[in-house]
Amino acid sequence: MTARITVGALALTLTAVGCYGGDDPAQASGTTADAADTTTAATTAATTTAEPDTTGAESSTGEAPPIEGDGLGDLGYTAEDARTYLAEVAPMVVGRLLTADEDNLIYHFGADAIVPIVEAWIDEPLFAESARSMLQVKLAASGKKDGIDFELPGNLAAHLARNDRPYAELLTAQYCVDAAGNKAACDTGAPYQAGVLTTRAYLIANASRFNLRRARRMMFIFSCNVYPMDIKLQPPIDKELLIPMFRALTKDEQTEPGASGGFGNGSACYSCHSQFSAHAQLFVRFSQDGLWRADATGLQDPDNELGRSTNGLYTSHFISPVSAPLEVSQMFGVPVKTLTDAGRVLADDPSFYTCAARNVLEYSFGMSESEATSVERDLLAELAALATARDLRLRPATAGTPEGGPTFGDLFVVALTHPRVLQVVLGPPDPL
Amino acid sequence: MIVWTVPSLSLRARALALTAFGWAGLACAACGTGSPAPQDSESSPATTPASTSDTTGEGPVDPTEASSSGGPEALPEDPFTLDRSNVKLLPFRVRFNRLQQLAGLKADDPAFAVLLARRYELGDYDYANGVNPDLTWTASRISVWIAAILPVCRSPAMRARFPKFPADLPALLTAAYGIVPDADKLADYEVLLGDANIDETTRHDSVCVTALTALEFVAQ
Repeated sequence: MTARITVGALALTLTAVGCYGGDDPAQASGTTADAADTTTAATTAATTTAEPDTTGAESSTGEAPPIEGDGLGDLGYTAEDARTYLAEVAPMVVGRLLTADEDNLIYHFGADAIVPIVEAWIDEPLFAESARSMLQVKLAASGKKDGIDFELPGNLAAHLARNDRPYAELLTAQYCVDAAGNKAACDTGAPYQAGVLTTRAYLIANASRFNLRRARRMMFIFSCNVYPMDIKLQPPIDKELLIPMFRALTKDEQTEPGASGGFGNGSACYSCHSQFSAHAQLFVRFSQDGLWRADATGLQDPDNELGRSTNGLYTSHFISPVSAPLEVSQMFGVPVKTLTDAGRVLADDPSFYTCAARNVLEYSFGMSESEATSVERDLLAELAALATARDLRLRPATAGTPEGGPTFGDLFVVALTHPRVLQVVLGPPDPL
Repeated sequence: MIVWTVPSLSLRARALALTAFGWAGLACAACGTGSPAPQDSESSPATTPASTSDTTGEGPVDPTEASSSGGPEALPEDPFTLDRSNVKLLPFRVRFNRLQQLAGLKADDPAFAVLLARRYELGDYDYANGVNPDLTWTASRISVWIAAILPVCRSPAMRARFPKFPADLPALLTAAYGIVPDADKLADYEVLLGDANIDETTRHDSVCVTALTALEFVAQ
């Protein structure tokens, strides 16, 4: 492969190097790429698969649980393959090139070096920053404005990655994290917490009528589900409990004049809103500026557009004035009192870690969200199982308890050392 | 003018994208010889039985035979695909980290003042203030990038680490890309440096800027 340049190129480069100075950063606000399409972390215990701690790691059937990267070196990938692969992912995971030591490992151990190298990455400070970036982009939340700290979700992600805390704490943490990495109070004023969901950053970034976007992004980012979803997963709310506009299944059934013209995504409202309703209700007391309001009514403001309640709040899907202001709802058919409960149910569902694995692949390979939706489900299920097995192997005391669960590090290690992921980047190994 | 003799589809696509940007594209395309291109999954032996060539004279080989005869097991089809048709920049923060490591400078070093001042033009994000990430590699972004890294190239740290070109060119390219440059790549620069009638300072700036604008440095 050869790229030739002429002296003309040099001349033009020379011209260019003197052209620009620093301008006002305010100019920069013209970038308009959709975050959803621009996808564009720990004092880990000794995390070597060379000498795995198998205490408590056997399944009830006596079979050894799967180990990430098992047999990677036997697939036929060469040292150069391993180097190419790791060089591709290192910048996104640890913000750098491979080191001389890593080169040396690869030289001597070929593809067998991939697992220990990736395992070492998750102890590096910049891994925490990668976790921060990953979540910031997913949540479209960063920076500061009008005294609101949009860095809180990213701070939590970095904290979890840095301290080898469960990834699930993104939804279940009862605390926020400040810029210095210390636990701090959250900012919504709610009498409960649910990780990033109860930060003003998430709530403002995803504020919309009927709380639809807050519900939709929660389900997409942490469950990889979209509406309408499998009714076995999320049972529909009974029609009669909903306000009339969301009961319609056909255009003829639509009785709300404001919706008869095809409000939202069409007239078949009930198919999606029978499920939206349960999840959106969890946000009914959070105003458009992300503050929790005890006086929320959940009722439509007659002087405002559809979906808006009074005092900057959003309308409930429920018709009953008794139910409309309450945060009591259900998640995947499980009754919940607030977002705290809902976050736990969401994190306990099998879809949570398969979705986390997808998020890791999306970030590591710079995929867009739409590209990432095509990642094969079988692979994601396998990665989730591997991450869970790794958690059990490395942290048997907490694995399977509310205090445990796979970490950012676990998810990155299992995803980036899976043979089929290597195959995507390198192609199949050459026959031996 | 660039002559691409690259069999790789992804790099050809990169070349096309870059030539569209005129001179700025030339600056980075000069070093567009990246690490080995990933194999196109559509032509992979595992997924295309016809591609298992008959090298033994025994006729086409069934890919599944590989595992039964002690070779590597054929993996199932690729579980996802990566879009290699467009150049996609590394996130700004990653590029910034790489520059810091290369120069051995801290983030608050004055050499990065322009880079940080123009970070949002270079694709960084600040959602609170309505700035989304943008990882496209456009002519205007290349121009801003060149302006932003010039102070880094001129910093005492960079001049101390890579004082003279072409003598320190292999060291720069190795440090910047993580790959020891091959003869072709060095030859490109030799042509560039040999024919140009420029002083030492200009030569240093030009080589440094060109190297750090290459896709190997800025792109995924």
